[in-house]
Amino acid sequence: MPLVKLEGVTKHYESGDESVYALDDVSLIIYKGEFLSILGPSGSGKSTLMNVLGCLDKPTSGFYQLDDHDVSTLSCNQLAAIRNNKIGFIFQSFNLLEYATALENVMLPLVYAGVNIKKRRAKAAELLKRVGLEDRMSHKPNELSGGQKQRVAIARALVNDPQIILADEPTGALDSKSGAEIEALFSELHHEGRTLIVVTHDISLARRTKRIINIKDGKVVEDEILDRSSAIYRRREGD
Amino acid sequence: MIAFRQIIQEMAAEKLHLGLTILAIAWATVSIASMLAVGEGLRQGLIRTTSNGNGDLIILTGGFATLDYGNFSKGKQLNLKPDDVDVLRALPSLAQVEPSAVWASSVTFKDNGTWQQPLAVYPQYKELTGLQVTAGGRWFNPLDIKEQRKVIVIGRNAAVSLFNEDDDYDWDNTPDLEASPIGRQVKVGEEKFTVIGILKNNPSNIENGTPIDYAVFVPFTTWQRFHVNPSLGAINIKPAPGADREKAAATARQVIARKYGATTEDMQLVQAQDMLLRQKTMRQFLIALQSFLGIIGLVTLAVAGIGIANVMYATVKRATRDIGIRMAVGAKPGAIKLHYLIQAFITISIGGAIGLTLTYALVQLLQNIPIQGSGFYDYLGQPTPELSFSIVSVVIFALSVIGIAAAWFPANHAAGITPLEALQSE
Repeated sequence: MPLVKLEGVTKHYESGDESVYALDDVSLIIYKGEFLSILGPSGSGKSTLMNVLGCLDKPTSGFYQLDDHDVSTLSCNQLAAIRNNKIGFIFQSFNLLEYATALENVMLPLVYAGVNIKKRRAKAAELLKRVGLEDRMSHKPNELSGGQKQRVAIARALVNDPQIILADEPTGALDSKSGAEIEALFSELHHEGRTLIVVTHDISLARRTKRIINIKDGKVVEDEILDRSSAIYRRREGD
Repeated sequence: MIAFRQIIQEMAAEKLHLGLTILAIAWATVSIASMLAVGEGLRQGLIRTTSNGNGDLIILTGGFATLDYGNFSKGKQLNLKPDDVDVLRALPSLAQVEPSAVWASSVTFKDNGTWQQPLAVYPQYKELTGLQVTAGGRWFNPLDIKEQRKVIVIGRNAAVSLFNEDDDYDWDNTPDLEASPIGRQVKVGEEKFTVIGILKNNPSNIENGTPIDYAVFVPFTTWQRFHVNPSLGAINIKPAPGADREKAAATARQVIARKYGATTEDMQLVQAQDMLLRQKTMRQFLIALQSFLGIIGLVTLAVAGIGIANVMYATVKRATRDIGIRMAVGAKPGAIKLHYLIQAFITISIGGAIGLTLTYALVQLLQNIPIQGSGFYDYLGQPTPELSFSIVSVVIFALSVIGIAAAWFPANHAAGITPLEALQSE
């Protein structure tokens, strides 16, 4: 049972007289537990693909099924609920609320899930501990380093136990040491059985994932499985 | 479903704008609440003025015939007589009927005189019109009536003009009496009367517009003693509680008209004036005035509302990326909208509370300023601004309506941003 199924997904913009295809007939299947990267230069459409996968943007045409839901037909409120329960975002620029503490930032998705304050606090504290920030809980983003901010963002992405974690250039704004720590954290999450999708133009980061989807001019040009030893792909080959 | 703490944090980040908005709302609240309070004070003052004197009476007077009928040909005068009162007293719809007559002579003391001629009344007149006598003096008693005594009770300002030595009489600012005039002799025409009482200050009127402060009273029977076949000035009627005032007045007119063999059709011959109905018009005018003042306040408040909307738009614009973050982690458009409505509500509540507190303080201050002895001020019933419960309710209602209206559009705008464009904004 695929977790994500895209069929003929197209996204195009009218800019002036030109019609720009950010995504052009993309079909894709992603299974639960995969650790894959979407690789491409800037302007290739990889960010648009991530936005569509993350229900932040709707495709112009095509079919998108996420965990049994036909996402392309959902309303704004239903999409918000999907983002809340099923997707965790990690952004290049962290996207934390500046005036809120690390703990409050991590609690945010639970607020909109209607979880009560006690549970919110406990769950958020647990995840901050998980990413090694137990002593930074009441710090605000401007008191944290880049690597720490990204770990707060990861904790926030995990707090609702999402089906997919979407990371957009997660190491792009970090020094190499912090970047390596984040990569290590991703590997750990993969081993826990989580589904991770990393969007990047950095080939060395992509090489650390198990599958690379190469995208160019809105089209998937290559879909390469790097680690066939993984149980997911062995089963798939048997299909 | 709403991160209340973060609403506060976001507001704290906008201290200056928010402070100015709160100031505008507070000022608008002060203006609307104090305008209404001043109007309310004027209205209450009028009610105070009219609850004394002739305020709730029907005044019956004789006039000239305008129709030929029975005993009356056009132009003939009808004079009310003392025994008319007995006929009216028999009517169940009338609670109290008191005659009054004008003694057509001036009251003098040495070179001073009064503006009003004496009114001849029975002791019951005092209760009917709410007169009060200052300490040291007294009102007429049954013996004065029985023995037709030459005693006189004088309104306060009339007393000042009679007995004070100072010639510079200030109509707007009556001085105090220099000495008690009780026991002194004044002249009504050529007859000597003894002063037995001075009335307390009272801004109300009696009869057809005589200020109580300038009125002079003598016993009814004493007046009869000096006048042969006298005519009444007026008959003061207080309808029975619960009785239909218009019907009571009509009945009284009919009874008198029949007694004299006149037609009830002739509205000029027997006239009944309901003073309460006349004041109703005045009260309606004051309500209109109060509404007008309220509208001025409301416009000020609306301008403050535009200020709220402006600040909210700016806040939403600055917070666009945050809105994107919230939406990305699952905030529904409704939650975003609620977020900004709550923000506006908090702003308005603070501004409104400050404004109402300031108004309350202002009203207390004005109520405690001693203004006395000003004729015009007394005439208005010594009005002081009053911040009544209904005014506070109206103000809170206006604040809520304007606040919601002002916050609605920016909040809707915020809710309408797509998460993608919000995240891409910087």
